[in-house]
Amino acid sequence: MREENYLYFANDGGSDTDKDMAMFPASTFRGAVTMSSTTVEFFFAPQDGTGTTANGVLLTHADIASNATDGTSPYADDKHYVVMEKFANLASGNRKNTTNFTVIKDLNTLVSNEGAISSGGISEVTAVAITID
Amino acid sequence: MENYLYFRKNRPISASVTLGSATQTCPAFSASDIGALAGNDNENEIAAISITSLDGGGTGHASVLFTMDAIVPTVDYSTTALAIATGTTHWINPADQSYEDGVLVLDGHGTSGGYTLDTGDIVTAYWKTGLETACMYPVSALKGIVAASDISTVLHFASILGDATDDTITFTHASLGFEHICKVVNDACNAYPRDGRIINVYDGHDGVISTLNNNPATITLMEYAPEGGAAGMAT
Repeated sequence: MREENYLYFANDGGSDTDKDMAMFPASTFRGAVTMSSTTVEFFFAPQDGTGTTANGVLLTHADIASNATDGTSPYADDKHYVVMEKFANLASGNRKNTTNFTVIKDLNTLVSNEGAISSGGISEVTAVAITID
Repeated sequence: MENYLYFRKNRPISASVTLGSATQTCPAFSASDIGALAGNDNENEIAAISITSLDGGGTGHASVLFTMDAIVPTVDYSTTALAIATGTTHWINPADQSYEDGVLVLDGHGTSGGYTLDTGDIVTAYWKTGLETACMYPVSALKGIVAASDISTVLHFASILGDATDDTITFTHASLGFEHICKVVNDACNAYPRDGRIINVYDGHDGVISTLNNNPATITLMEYAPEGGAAGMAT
């Protein structure tokens, strides 16, 4: 048995559209980068095997509590770090004798029994956008 | 299982410039505060801009959307310049201004959200987390570390996008800090061998730099250059 951890993402669609969901082996994770004050993108080796265009999962989280009239507020929060930290914990959480199926975030909105496979995952994430070229 | 190496540029951070003459084009912010100026043009990264008036004394400057020390009254736009008292601080909306290569250009008081600057005014901007401000790489992506000079060390990572060009992180540090950085990175890579965690290698948060092992190399600045650059990284 390969002790690989598989990372599952799903957006808030109905599991019926291209790239509503995706799963990547943790070993294909290449890195994560902040894209804005509210988004972090996690990059993976491409599933098409070309190796030249990374697949990305853009996770959205709350903005820092800032506004244009209070310069102190940008120092208040680190949501991107929390998301990265939780991802790291989940991605490396594989153990023997478990399924190693890890839900990073599942926002599926289908009805009960047909919807999200887990209400767990990273609670700070409010949106998931999957890019697979 | 492996660790994940976390880096963050000096963000959030604030930096100030003092107007040498009455112009709407501010002097460039210092690269030692905010990093390389070339390409530093993401105004969405600026959360707030304040202006401390030197002149004042009844001379009109601000027009609209300014507040006194974070009190936020509702102010209707007017093209009439308002008198600014010397030494007072006013906040203007970054979205109303332009920003390119570390240089702010403010609209004058005749424009919504504008403020006419005068000699000696101090403009302070507050940067928050933004595009490519922070990143995290699996340890397995680390390709090596090289000394670029006695005060500059470059970490090479396998490209996130999969191109042949490495992603790089460049540290500016005290003279002969290379060895310290190598030891810090080694510690970060090999910590928690049975676990796998995020390891904060360098964090310039809040202007208070923290690194693993209490910054033995005295790192003062970090530059991050993913091979794709700002346009190429977004998918």
